[in-house]
Amino acid sequence: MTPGRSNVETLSATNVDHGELARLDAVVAELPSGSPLGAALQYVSASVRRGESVTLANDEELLTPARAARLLGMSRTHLYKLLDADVLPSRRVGRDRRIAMADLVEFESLRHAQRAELAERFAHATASRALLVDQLAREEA
Amino acid sequence: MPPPRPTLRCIREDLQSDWGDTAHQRAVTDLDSCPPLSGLDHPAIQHLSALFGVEDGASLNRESISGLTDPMWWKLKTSRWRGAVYVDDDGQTWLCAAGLRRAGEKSDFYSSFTREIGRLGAAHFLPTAEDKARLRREVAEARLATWEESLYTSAVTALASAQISGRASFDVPGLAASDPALASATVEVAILTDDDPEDSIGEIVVAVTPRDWARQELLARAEIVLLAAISPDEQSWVAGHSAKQRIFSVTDSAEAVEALVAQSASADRTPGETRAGAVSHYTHKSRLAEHYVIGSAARALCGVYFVPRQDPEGMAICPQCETVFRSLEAT
Repeated sequence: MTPGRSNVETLSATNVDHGELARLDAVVAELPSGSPLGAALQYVSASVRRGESVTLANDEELLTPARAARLLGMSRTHLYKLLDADVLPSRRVGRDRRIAMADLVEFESLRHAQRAELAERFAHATASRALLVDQLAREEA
Repeated sequence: MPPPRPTLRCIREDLQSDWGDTAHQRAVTDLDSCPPLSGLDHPAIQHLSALFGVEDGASLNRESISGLTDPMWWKLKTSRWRGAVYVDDDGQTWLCAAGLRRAGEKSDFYSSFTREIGRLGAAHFLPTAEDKARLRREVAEARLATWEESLYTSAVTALASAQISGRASFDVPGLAASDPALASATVEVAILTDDDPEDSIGEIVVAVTPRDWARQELLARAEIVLLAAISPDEQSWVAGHSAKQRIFSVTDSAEAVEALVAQSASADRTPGETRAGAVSHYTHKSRLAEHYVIGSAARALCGVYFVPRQDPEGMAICPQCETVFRSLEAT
């Protein structure tokens, strides 16, 4: 991988030499247990061994909205609404926008409450409706 | 004016037999499953509507029970039943007492009823606070159901329209015709086709802009009805709001989204009815029991948020969760 300033790097599982992988595993084995660097490298090794490609991104890296939407599991149109409303910060690049990975990570954690709330509202819909009927009945009086 | 109805005392004490549907007799104690009392399957109740439910208050065949004036009582006669009917100050008609007609007996229903009035007082038979509360609840339920039906129709219509033109908007009305609109809603459909049909993506985005902030619970109900109308699978929806709009989206293959649009129009669904998850997810076990018990949302390894409430046994495991779990095991 070239140390990039502007690219999010993808290591394709089919490109990796298994001899190199073995050398990586040896290096990881020598790191102290609990080492965060060791854990990250081990994740790369395990994924590639399973045939899964790995994407690495610098927190300073800039993502396209399409990429960001995919990472967030969100519709592109939905994401654009949030960019327009400035809920998720972005920078203009030509006619489009770029989103910093760090901002994306923070945004994702802020959304937790909203996503949990929706799941809970679905689950409690029947009980909530009964309460609503009670409330409306009181207003009829 | 709501239709004529029996009092709860009359149902419990007087209507002991002749039920067309015994489930109705049992249902009266269960508020949630009971049909409106005016529609219960008993000949006395059904005849009540036929005789007293007509609009012309001129009461063609109504006969009062002689001797009773404060209040006045009307007679109800079917082949087997006799009843005493009361019209309250609001104009609501009540069946307050009933009994089987006994041919050839010395005292008929109306004589014994008159005696009971003398002995216990009219108040014993008149509708109670519980009767009136029950009526109000039924009226509220009917109003809400009508409102939900029209909201469901608006959502389905907007979805079909958005599939063609890209977006469609409509107002989320208040409960009463004279109430201001609760919110405005927009439905957007985007199909992004790729050369490779497997990569074609479909998106549905619903944005709700609240206008009347006083009716939070009603607006919350409106959102559930809207989302359920468009995609009834709870876990298909992703929430991400801005300061002014509440925004929800579904992302799937173009084919799946087109199927959603088609199904919304043809299905005969109950407004607000949703489906819980069809696959079981992995989530952190430390809070799983808590989530089950208090009904709070858990985050699955695959990123989906859900309230665990089904038995995962027998369900297929979410493939995305499986993948993430295996990778965690390997580290």
